[in-house]
Amino acid sequence: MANLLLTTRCVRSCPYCFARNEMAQSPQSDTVSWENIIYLADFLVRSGEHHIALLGGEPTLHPHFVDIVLYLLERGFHITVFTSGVMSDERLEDVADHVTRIPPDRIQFVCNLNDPEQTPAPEGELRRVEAFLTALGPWTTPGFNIYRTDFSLDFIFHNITRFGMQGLLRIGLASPISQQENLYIKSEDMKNVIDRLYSYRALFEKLHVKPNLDCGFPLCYFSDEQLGWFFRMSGGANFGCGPAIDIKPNMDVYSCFPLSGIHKRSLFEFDSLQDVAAFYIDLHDRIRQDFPGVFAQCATCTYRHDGRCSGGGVCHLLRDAAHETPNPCMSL
Amino acid sequence: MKLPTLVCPYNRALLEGIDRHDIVVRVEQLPDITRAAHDIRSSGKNLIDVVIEVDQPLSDIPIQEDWHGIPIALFTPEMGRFRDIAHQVPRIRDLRMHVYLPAENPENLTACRILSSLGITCCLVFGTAEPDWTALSDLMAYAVFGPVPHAPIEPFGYIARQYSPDAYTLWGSVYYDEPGEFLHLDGDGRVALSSAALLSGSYIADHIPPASEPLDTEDYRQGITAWRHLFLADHPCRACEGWRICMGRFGAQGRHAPGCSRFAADMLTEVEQYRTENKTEPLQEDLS
Ligand code: SF4
Ligand code: SF4
Ligand code: SF4
Repeated sequence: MANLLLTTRCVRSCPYCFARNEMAQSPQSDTVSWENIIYLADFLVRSGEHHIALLGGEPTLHPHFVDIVLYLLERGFHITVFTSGVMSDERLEDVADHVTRIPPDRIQFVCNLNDPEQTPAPEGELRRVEAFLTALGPWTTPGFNIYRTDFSLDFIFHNITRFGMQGLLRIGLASPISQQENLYIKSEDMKNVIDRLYSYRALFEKLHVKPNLDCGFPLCYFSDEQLGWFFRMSGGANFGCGPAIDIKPNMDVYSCFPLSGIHKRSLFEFDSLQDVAAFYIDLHDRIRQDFPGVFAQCATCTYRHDGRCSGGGVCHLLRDAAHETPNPCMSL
Repeated sequence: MKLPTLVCPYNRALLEGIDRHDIVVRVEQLPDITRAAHDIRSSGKNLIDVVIEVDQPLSDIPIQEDWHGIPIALFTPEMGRFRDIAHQVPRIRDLRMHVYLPAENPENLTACRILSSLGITCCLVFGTAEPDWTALSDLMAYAVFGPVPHAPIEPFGYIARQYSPDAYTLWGSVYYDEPGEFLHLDGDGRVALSSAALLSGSYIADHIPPASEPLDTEDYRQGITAWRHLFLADHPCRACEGWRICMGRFGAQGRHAPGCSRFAADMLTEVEQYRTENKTEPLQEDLS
């Protein structure tokens, strides 16, 4: 799936933000043009891809957000919008007015929720998120980025019930980014994260919420019991690492936010999404020749060999390797 | 020899007097679209298009179910906001409608790309003001070489389809304005060679002769080769690389406009490449 950044502007400043690099380097007015939207839509159609994710920054800040959504739906795409839920009352009214007429199987929001106690936000911001969930809860699944090991999920379950959100929780690990400091989960802390996630199993079950693991989880850190539970609840689990295909408003492309500082290309250089994916898979493979995984045993791990675990995220490998060589990617 | 198509106002008496010519009818009101089409077809005449010019955006036009099957050329100043037209897109796509938009408004170049990508044929109208030639070039490349099938964007689609290296490419017919192929009638049946001539009251005849008699006046013969005057008058177009494909039309209403020459030369390169590659996709024939 391709992720299109409608704008690089954002309204929040999350401590773990992995888009920080990109936003810092982009002009404030960086929003995608209609010409590029149509180019990308054609590109995806030609690639046989019918799903697109819209993100930012905050994608709803794009002045034509509603028009773009309606256009992409008319082109036959299924849309996922990654949002903070923070938007002006006028914009929310506008978005809700149109989106509530679209069946939730055509468009879905992933609202990235921060714990109000552990990641305090200005009062007005919380009110806006609540207003968003009140209007669009049934179109929305919660997303949660874990950046500390003592995280809590209680507020998420509370929101799912209160706002009638969809019963799926997208769980991301905050990833390290190159060139800037951010808060992220270190490889050695992931076992604690998994145990803590598992400790919420009663609530997941009671409220019928599927845990949906995002990239970068190491397979070997799960006990058999935990694995069995994740599989029973969600029908599968992800122990891979991208490459996600992130596309900037100017059609620059990279394999995901944490890697945006390296090997950025232009979408105009490629003929299909498969070509882009192949380019970045090759890049990942080459990085992993020197740095196979986050643990020493990844090099010989049968799960990695058989493609069931990637050996953690490339973002971690680069971060760890940066201590040995200033920029391990420059030699690739 | 094929009779010219007559472009005439919606006037029942006038239409009844027309014998064997194909007809493009100009209507003033939206409800007349259906009436005019019905009148012309029920009298056994061949309707080419119903032409209507409105002053509201496309998004404000209530598209009618009974326009189905009627070839409509809708001249509108702009598309309007996409959100206001989104719900009408499937209905417009099912019609035989071509949307004409002024090229001088940069937003219309974007609108053409949006509409075309959704399967709606559009056509740019070149007026007195200059378009953004760079954006126009970009749109022309999309029209000719867009990577997935889309509806034609005229006149580019027409030019690419009709282009031959051995002949001038006459694309005025996209606007029913090609002397020799179209004649324009006023409400009294007087005949002009072009819409501009009709507006200025320059007639070549008082009426259309019966089908058995060809229109063969001196004015007519001169009119259909009027483009030659640009050469005699030492006009800048005569040195233009893109003349063969433009014939003076990209410039403001036949006058030379800075930027048009470069654009026309680019267009010539693109259509020659198109022809060389002998592509059949994605440039679609206008099937309507
Ligand atoms: S590849 Fe590495 S992280 Fe994955 S299961 Fe094997 S040892 Fe663990
Ligand atoms: S590098 Fe891999 S693990 Fe890290 S954020 Fe990107 S896809 Fe996820
Ligand atoms: S492109 Fe311009 S200069 Fe060239 S023929 Fe057309 S109007 Fe004349």
